[in-house]
Amino acid sequence: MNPVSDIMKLNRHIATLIFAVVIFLLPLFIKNPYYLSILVFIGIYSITTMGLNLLMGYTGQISLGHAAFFGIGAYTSGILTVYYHVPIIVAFIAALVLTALVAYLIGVPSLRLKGHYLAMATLAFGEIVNIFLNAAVDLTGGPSGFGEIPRIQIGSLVLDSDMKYYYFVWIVFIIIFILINNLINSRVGRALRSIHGSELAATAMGVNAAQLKVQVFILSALVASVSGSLYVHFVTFISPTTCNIMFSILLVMMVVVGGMANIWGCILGAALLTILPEYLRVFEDYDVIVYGFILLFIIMFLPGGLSQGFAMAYSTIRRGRSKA
Amino acid sequence: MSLFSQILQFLLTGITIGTIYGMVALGFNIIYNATGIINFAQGEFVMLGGMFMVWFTAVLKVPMIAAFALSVIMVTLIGALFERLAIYPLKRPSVLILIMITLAGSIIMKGSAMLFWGKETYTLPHFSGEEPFHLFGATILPQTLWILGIMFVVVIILAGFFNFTMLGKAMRACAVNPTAASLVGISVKKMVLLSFALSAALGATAGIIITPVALMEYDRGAILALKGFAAAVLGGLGNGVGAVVAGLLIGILESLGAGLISSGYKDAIALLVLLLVLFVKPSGIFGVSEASKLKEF
Amino acid sequence: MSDIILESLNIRKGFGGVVALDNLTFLIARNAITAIIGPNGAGKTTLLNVVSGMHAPDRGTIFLNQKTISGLKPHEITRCGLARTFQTAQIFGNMTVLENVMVGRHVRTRAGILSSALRLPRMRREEPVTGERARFYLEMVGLQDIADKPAASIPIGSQRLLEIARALATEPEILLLDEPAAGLNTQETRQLGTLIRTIQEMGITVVIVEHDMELVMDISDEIIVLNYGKRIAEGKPVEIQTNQEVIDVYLGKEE
Repeated sequence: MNPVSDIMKLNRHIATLIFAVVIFLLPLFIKNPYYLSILVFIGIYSITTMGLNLLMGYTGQISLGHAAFFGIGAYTSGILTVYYHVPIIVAFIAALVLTALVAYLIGVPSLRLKGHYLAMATLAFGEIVNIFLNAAVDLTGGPSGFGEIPRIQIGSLVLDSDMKYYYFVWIVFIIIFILINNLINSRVGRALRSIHGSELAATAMGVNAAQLKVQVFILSALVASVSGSLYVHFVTFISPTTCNIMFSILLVMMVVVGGMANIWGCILGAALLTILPEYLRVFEDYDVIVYGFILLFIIMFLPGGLSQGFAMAYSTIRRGRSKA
Repeated sequence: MSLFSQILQFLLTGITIGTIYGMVALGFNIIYNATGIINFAQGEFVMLGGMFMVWFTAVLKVPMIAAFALSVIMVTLIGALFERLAIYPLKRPSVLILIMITLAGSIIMKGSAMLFWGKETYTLPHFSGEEPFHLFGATILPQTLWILGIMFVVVIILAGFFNFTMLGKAMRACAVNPTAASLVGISVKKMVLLSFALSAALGATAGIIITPVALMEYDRGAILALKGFAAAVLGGLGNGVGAVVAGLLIGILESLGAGLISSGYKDAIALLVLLLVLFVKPSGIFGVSEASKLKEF
Repeated sequence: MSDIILESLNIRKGFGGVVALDNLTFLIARNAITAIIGPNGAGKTTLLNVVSGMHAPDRGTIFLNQKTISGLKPHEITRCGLARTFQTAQIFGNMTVLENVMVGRHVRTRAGILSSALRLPRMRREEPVTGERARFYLEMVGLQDIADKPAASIPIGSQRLLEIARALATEPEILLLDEPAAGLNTQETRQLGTLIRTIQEMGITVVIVEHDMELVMDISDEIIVLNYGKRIAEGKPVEIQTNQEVIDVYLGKEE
């Protein structure tokens, strides 16, 4: 048995535990519903980002169209519950099934491509879904979308307040977090990272790269769909602008800015890019340009993202202390 | 209107817009050929061209020809600036980093346009009036002739540049073998800069000539880039003639689809073509399969 | 069990207009160390690529333990018991040295996405074994002290050893080594020779493509000489050293 990896595993478990406790206790200190709703959104987007990070950070693929899967989840949940009065849980599962199907159909041919070709294919896919959402007015409500999406009800408990939804979302987050974390620290996780390292050598070592890439693509799409459904039962309204190309790019930014191949980075990235527009509300016209500069800055000076920045700062402080 | 005239009308509209797609595709090819980079900000050059032209003519009241020249110059400078600030400093960047950088550049350009000019849709006056010609029951706008004419001139100039001038040949040398090129004294770094400047100028021209017909707003860049890339890939990435032909093809397909089937899904047609080409034959109709496999992606 | 572990029958492989492998037929004896030599461009690496499944042959068949493997995907061939290393070390730079070798175990373990995400018993049983086996192979090649270092940061000689350890972790019956001695100094090459003999003692067949004649003559049981994609000579090292045709084509050059 190896003591180093045992300690690392323990650290991970402790970190997760501390994090869960903090999440649990936070609403006791933050009563303002506005701040709580921000935390709800951070939770929702952290989930989406975790899925995308699995695909981008660990497996080394790129998807510039992930907003489409968020949208499929959101719209399916919304349409089925509002217009067909389907129970929320059934609509949720239907959304997952539809997302898996679409992800499979687009994933198999796309993931044979690499680099720029893959990026363009996913970009085109995202746009096609967005065009559909705008044009199929009878089904989706067109550019103006639709509302009156029902709240989630668990038994007699209706999730109609920010505080209640906060706990719901972050419980879902922790479950998915643990599952993805388990996946990363396993044979499958190593296989994914080996594809990122050298797909050629990975296949030579017996990894069915083609199949695994599609599987992780579908998995990340499903996670995005879950977050889309979560979104729609919180905001109770959906329109195509919520899941357009800018959102796809924002999701990629959350992964990159937070730090790729780092699961904590997802939360950092989601947090930054959720809070930022709130701060920029006064300077609303500046938000897009600020995003661009943040992305540029991170790529050029801190490619490991904010989590790399924190790690560097942490080790610098430690080195300073041990010298003193 | 008879079916024949209708189809003719769609063909003409298709050729008009297809010209723009072809020019965007040429822009992609120029940078790709010189650097191996796919410039995700290509569509923004087109958008900026149109926006600057509107600004110069409508706000600053500059006469049209001067405004045309100034707009192209402004966007060319922006393209060059982008290359110097974001591309030049990179040391052996990975594909992912290049994608992110040009994506970041496109976001910054889009954001700046939004900041500067807002989210409204703008138009330009047609270059020589709006009185249409009639041909077999279909109408042709004079602007269409301008668009086709200017594209023709542009293609001739580019062909001449790349085939008959030292500078153009130097750029082609870089595309084929940058190491050998630098060994004979060609500054590869300068060629990269030139390719971005040239692409920007090309994109700006396209934006200016299409705005009277198709209007322009701050976020048009992305879909233009996608459609232009579709044309570039369909024609065989790096192939100039292919780009123009493919652009026209896509424009016609789009126009026919919009007219005969449905206009709400019009934009999806070019995108579906892109997916089809990427999935079935990424080397395009004029490209060579072996060559495209060897390209570093 | 047959004496022949690998058989290539009338293999033809061309790229564009170039014929890299021209009607190539040969047999590899079980548990022997066979070297494949030949001048640059003779088709040696193409041969490895075709055998390991990276390219399908245009014509001809390859048999592993009498089973057809030509036409199978690389990962399927690895599952059948054939592993290889690469000329330019294709290590997983984004992982540690130990994790690199652990990936070699992929093909001998089964835990999938579901069992891994839920940490089902199968996954929990396999994980520690994977770690132990990986350490075993690291020790065999002498890299146990740098197990937790990022693979991208170790010197090129160590990277080659890492590739060998990783390939061994797939528990192959036959191991293909693509120029493992390239860039190694005399002492490292000698250590490589010892390692290869150790691998042979484990019961593994070794096929080595090499330019380093001293190593080749020293450890090979059998040598196959290629030129222009054809087999021009085959035999024991002594025979090859005195084969006039080989000398003319190849051995005349000083390394």
